[in-house]
Amino acid sequence: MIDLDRETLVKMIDHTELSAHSGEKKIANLCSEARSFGFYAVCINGFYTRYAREQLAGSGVLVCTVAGFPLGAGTTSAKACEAGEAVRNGAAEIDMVINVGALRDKKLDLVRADIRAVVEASRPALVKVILETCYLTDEEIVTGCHLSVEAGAKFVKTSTGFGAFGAFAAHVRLMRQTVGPEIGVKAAGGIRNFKDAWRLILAGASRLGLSASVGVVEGLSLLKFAPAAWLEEEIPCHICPSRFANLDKQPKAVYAYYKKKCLACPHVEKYNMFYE
Amino acid sequence: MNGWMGKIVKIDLSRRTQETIVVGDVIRRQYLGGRGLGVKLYSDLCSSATDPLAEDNALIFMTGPLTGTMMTSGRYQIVSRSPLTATICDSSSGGSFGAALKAAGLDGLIIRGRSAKPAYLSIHEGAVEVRDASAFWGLDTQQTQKAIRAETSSQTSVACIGPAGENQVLFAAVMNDKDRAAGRGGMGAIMGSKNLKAIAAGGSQPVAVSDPAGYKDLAARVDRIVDKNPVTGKSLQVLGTSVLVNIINAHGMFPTENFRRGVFNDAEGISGEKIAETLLQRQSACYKCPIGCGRTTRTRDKNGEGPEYETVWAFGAHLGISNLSAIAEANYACNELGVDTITMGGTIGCAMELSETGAWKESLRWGDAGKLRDWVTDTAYRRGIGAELALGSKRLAAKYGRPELAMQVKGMEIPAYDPRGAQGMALSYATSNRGGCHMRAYMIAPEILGHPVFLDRFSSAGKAELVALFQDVSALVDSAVLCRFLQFALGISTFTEMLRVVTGLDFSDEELMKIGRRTYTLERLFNNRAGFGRGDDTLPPRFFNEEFQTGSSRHRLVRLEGMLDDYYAVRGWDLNGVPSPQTLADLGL
Amino acid sequence: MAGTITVKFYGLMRLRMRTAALEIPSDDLTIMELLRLAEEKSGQSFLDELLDSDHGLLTGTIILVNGENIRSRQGLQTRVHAGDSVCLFSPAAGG
Repeated sequence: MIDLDRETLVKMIDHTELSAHSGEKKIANLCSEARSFGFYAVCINGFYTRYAREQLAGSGVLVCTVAGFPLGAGTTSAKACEAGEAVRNGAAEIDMVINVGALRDKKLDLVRADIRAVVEASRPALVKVILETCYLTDEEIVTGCHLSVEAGAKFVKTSTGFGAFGAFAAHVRLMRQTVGPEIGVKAAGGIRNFKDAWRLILAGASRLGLSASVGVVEGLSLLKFAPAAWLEEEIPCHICPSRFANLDKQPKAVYAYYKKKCLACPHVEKYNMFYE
Repeated sequence: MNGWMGKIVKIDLSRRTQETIVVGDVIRRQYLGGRGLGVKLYSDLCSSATDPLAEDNALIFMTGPLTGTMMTSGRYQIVSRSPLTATICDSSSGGSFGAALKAAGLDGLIIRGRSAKPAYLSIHEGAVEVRDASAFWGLDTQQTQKAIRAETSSQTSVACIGPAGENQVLFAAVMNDKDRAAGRGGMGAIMGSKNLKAIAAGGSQPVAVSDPAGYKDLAARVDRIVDKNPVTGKSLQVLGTSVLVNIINAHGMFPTENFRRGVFNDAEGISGEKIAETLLQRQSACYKCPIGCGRTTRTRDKNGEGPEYETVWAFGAHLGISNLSAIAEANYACNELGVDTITMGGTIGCAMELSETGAWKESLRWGDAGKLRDWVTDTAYRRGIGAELALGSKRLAAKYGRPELAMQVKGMEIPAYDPRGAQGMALSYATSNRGGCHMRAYMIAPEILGHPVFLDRFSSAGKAELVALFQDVSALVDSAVLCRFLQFALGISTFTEMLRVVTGLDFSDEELMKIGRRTYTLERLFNNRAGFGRGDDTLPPRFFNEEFQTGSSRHRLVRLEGMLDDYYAVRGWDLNGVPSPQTLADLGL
Repeated sequence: MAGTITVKFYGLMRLRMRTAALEIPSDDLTIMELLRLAEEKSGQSFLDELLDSDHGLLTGTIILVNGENIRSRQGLQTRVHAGDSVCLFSPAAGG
């Protein structure tokens, strides 16, 4: 039996709608659902910050806006400006994308300063840093976490949802181990049902970025009394990022990194039929 | 009182007496209503010595605390001992009769005795009047409903039997609100045995809700969840239940010609897609239901409701028939005459195999769509070949010396999913308290449809726990009373919330699970006392011995023994399937 | 048909596509790639009936390759070859 109650779960959810093509009606719907279910926040693009704030007036649901999204490859001043404006429009949280290229280039001071600028510009709102794990090695994920904490961010986040892949328990676990208990870890991208969400929560996620929020919450209700077997993933490859490595979508070095991990994995003997 | 009306009427049709029953707080909390309370009351009033068609048998119509409030809450349950199976049995029907019963001031009815002349009950403002139904005896269910509404009010909801029930066909149905059926188990025969033609209910008594604001919020939320869910929000509306035809056929487990094969060559011709293209006029919905899975259809000359997946199978693949029109018209006939389509088709399929093997001299040929409607009609009137078909497949096959050709469990015909294609379903059929039923634990959901998680259908692992879990949750939903289709979108915690806002009682998820388990166990106790044990928790030999040669469920057999042992362990029953004293104590039984 | 993969549409997919099947001349690609090709070839978008906004299988979506559910294999990464038959069912249920 799962000892997570509905109240706790809904307060872990940023109900998300970040598509380029979302119109006002979609955002209004998002806010209405967030109000009805009591989600923690809505996560949206900058254009709708003020509108969302109005829609959510009196509800207790926060507005979380993205900055430098989804690539993170803009200038620091652009990101900071975006963040500041969002906060003035009513955002209580800012999800910014780390400068992935600079991180991979090991330009650590630059990356840290980029985050700090957004943190400063966002006060009093809290900042989450999206690492975009699909473009990083484990070492880079750890570095990204350290830089984010040093720069004053309050959360590290796995993914934009627009990259090669989304949240994996393995990455969440690594991030949680790295940042310790005080900093938030947000899992986002590819979380389709309660089973996925629960796995990530067990791995250490304290916030979830979902578009399937309604289904996930109802899933708790459905699976609450489910036997343990239902919630286990029999085949480890199904929940391993290596299986989702994609040469078309990832830098060659990162792709190779994941594939190499596969071959060195203790499960490879038993499950090698799952490798491409 | 919130939720419940606080009044059940017990009526004796022989003595023409009535008594008001008030159920105590403790019992209400332990059984809720609907199936749970019905089973509890039945167990107290009758015993394993009770003959289902005798005067002293009790026939219970019961609603629950949620009836008349939330979406889909027009449903009701009928509980009694089945004349077909001799197990305890509950039969569920949709429409609005349940809500009408509460609007008329009652939570339920307990009917005993036998009326000297055909009678019907008229319920209004908490009072039950016994009226003469001689003028209606002989009418079909559609005519009966019309006639009674003309005599009472156009607002009343009528539950009635047709000629099949009057003739005590062992699988006669009770029909209400046009074509909604309490089909399985022969509850219609019990009504017939009591000379009770119909029950008409109506009124304007509101159901009191403890937390109106909370209720409103919850209803809005549930609305959204149900709407967003692709099954309840789209598939069931557009394609109805027969969308399953192609799905189950593609999985090689669409029982064809009395379960001899798993693939029907003309599945397309009888599928939900085909119905949508050809017969469908519009969808229909029960009381306050946004799902609207019902099909209002017409053939060239006739019209009516359905056919549903089970019926399309029972009169279709099961008999080798691919004429959708003929299937629909046989379905209409079942609705009009008041006959359970699954047992009807199930029995005809058995008869066809008996005929083919020469065990029975009658000639019923596979694929003979032309005779379908006649067989149904003859069965309702117990004439000619129908007199034999009216026995159901178990008695029929036994009579002609080939009991193994009846695809039944405990006397009830197995429905439209071959257990060789899903091990969990095999266990579900074997351990169902009312016999071959797919609704007790709908394992098709996880094993085929992938809801709420996807499981390997050929594996036995973990199936026992799940079957027990589903059986309990289903019993709970049947006691609330709500529609099972909500289970595709909502989980236990939502049902808990519903009960809390309506009744004001502080139910918990665990308590609700226990209510389900208690009901299921009480049913089991009755069956134990009636002589049912491990030996009856089984399937016909075909499923253990004969493999399909084609289709994606080929070369598979049911492996029941291990799962059954696990199941009994999970349930806290001994190896003979008898609940242990500890298990009973835990449930307050 | 040799050299092609047969994609069959059922349920809501069938109503959306207005066709029961498509032949995709292809060999050795993943289901995800096949679905994209099928969308292209038919000129109709239907992926939203099967997948969620993150391009994962919706709970209840059934995709069979020669009668076997892809969830028992490699999900959307399952490889299919010429001569294979793929059945697509959007989430459905009944009783």
